Amino acid sequence: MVSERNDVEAFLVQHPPFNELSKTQLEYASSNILVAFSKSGSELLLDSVPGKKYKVGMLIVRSGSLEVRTAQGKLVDRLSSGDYLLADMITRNESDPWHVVVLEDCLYYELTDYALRSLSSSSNEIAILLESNKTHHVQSAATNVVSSTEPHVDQLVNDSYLSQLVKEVMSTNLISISPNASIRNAAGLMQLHRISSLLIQEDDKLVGIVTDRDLRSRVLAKGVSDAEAIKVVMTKSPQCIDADGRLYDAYLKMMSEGVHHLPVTRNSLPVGILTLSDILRANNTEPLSLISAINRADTVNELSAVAEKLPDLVVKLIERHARALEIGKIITAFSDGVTKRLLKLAERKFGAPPCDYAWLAFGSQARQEQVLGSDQDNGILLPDNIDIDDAYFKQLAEFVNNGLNSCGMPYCPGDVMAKNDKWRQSLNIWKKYFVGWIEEPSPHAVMHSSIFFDMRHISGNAELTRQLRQYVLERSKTNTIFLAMMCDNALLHSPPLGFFKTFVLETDGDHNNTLNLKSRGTIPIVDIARNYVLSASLNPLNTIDRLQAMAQTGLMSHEMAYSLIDAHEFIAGIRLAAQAKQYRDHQPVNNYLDPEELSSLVRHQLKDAFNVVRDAQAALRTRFGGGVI
Amino acid sequence: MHRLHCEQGLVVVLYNLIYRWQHWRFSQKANVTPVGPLYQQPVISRSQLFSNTRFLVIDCEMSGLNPKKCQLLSIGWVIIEHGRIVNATAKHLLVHADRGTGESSKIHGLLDSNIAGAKSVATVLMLLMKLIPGSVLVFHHASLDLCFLQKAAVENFRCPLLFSYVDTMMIEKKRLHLQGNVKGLRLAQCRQRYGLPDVMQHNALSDAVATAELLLAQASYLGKPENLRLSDMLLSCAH
Repeated sequence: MVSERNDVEAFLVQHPPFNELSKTQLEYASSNILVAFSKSGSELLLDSVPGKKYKVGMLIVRSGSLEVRTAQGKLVDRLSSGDYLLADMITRNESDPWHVVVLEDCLYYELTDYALRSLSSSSNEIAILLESNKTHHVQSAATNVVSSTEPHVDQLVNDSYLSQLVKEVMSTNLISISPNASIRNAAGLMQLHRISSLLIQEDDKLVGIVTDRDLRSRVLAKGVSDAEAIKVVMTKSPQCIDADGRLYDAYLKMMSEGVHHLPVTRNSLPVGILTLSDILRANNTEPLSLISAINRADTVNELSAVAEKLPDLVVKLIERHARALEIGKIITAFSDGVTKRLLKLAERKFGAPPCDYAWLAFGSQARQEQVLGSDQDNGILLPDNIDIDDAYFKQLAEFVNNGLNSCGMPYCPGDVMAKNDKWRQSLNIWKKYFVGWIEEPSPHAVMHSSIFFDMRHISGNAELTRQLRQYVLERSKTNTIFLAMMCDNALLHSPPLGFFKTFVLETDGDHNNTLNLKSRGTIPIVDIARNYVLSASLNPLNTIDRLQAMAQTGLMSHEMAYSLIDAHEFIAGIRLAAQAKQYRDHQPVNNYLDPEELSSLVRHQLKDAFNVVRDAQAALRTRFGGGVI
Repeated sequence: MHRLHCEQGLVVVLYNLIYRWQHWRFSQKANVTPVGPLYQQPVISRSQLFSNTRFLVIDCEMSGLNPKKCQLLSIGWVIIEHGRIVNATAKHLLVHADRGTGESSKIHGLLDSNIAGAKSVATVLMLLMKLIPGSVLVFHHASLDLCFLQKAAVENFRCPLLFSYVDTMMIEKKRLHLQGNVKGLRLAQCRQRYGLPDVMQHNALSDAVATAELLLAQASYLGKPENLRLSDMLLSCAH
């Protein structure tokens, strides 16, 4: 017997769920596979092959393609090479069995039902697959698939900053002194350069290091004279790290040696120094430094120079697999910072405001879900019963809106900006706007007003914002017609069925070359969450926070809410990764994804995520929709 | 129509004649050899249904094309039952060679050293013969494989094997002929016409599986599975 891998096995190992199986499990699956062929146009009958002694558990397409439809002819799925179908899904509903028809001559593998069930007892992936099919479609599959990768992702985030090279993080400002110099001279040099450690070099060779702590513990505490040579108190032949080493090597060395400073060497010559705080700073603290840079900027030009650094940072975070939720919060924190700084600069330029005001953010900024290049949506809220100097606020708004635009937050195409007179109004007028949207909703108005229902205070008098929000939440909760309209609006964007070959498969059977991950992926989830929180006057704005609150208050089943959270994180993560790639390739950054670039595993996971969204949309329709003309 | 009918009749007679002729020539001799059981099997009927037939799909790799000078290097097979390739039945056996593998090793990647752990021709044939009774053998370009198998059988058992077989190349040739087409008949070319995927590797087993898949594809185009008969597949008798 020759031991090379069977072709069936070689094919299976490339495709989910089989790529998760161990070698023995894979061999077992492969030895329980039967290969069949059907020509195009014929219908596959999974359970009635004459003389067949086995029951089919799963069908895997090797070549060609299949189509699954309900008895009423509604498209359920199309499958091509590498896609699979569970026999249970076809036969599950006895009154409405699905039909599997061959689209293109199809070579397919049948895995026996017995083998599938045996595998499910030893493989988690297969068990999840069967379980999710039995209970609630593919919903929990997505939960489990996505969340089972989560610890791994977290680990990546934690580990990834430590896997950077020492030379990328070290300080290259190399200050050294001769071993014969006095302790006082050494301390003076450290003071001059504001450094916490000093290298001691003799003829270019590193002979020692002295740190702040050494000066304290070996000089002051011991009463050593500051006229002594520094070599008396230095640490001789200190532990070094190579410039091409990884941060975790450096970190481990610091921990094991109990030191906070490591000279960095290349070919045994010192080239830099790495401190524990350098390592800590490498751990995603750049956003903080960027935000503190914002507050030092004194002109719009300086501010936009700082803003230019944001995309690089964001792309780096994405590539280090930071969570989409965190990235959205970081970008939004930056936008908030820029807005506040611009307001401060404006007040400096035009004088103190004549009265209280509140600067509001709407849409993605309000939800803390901005991505690179998200446009600005904002407005000004002014107090009632005051004679308002609108000219001042118009100037202020124009200054801030223009400033935001030059800081990478383009003007809102729908003109929802404070510089537009319509969105710079008193509390009463704002309330009237909302009453109009809530009490007399029209599909058109609802579509355009939905972003206003995501509203967050940015600057100024927070009490004004609180009053408006309170008012909106109370009004919208009880208005079922409004909620039904919002629901209809939320259902305008639905996810696709899945993927077929290199295309996106639509519910009507159409194929698209690209997928808009925003309108077809994240927006439907955002809309669902908004609808629920408005119906119950819940406060959270961020979609994930909203979904968690919905689960806690029992507004949505725990299972569905957390499935949606995972689906959102997964889709948003893919959207961010695609954008990071576009940015790196110097392409315009947008929300489109070419399905050809997706691996088979990601396609399956995305499809599962879409199924979760579709299920949640169905639940939304049942709860809020219907009965509206 | 009448002529076609005559031809059909002739083929039936010929198939049975060849079987009886082979049987008459060798059955006495065969009875005292391991080949004997093959001669005690009833002839497989040409009217047998495709879906009721067990097929043993075989591919051999040889050290060259000339049966007088060259020899079997490896043999791969897989069984089709009820119109399904049973992956668990796939077998790949290397044949122990007396002579160096020569030029052909460059194609199949089988080196002399690989063959060290191989079985003797007789052992391989014995394993194969266990599966033959009740099965129809399948080859792509049967004449070549048959030459080598029969020569090996005669050398080892002084008696050729007796079995019925179909040749996917001949099925394809007839199909193309009916369509008035002349196209390539190599295995990969035939597979392409049915949209079958490229084969990942080339060895006796992969090619046997590839041939089996081709047979399933051809069968689905020859007729409905419930009334497709072996006569539609040019059933022949080895001689």
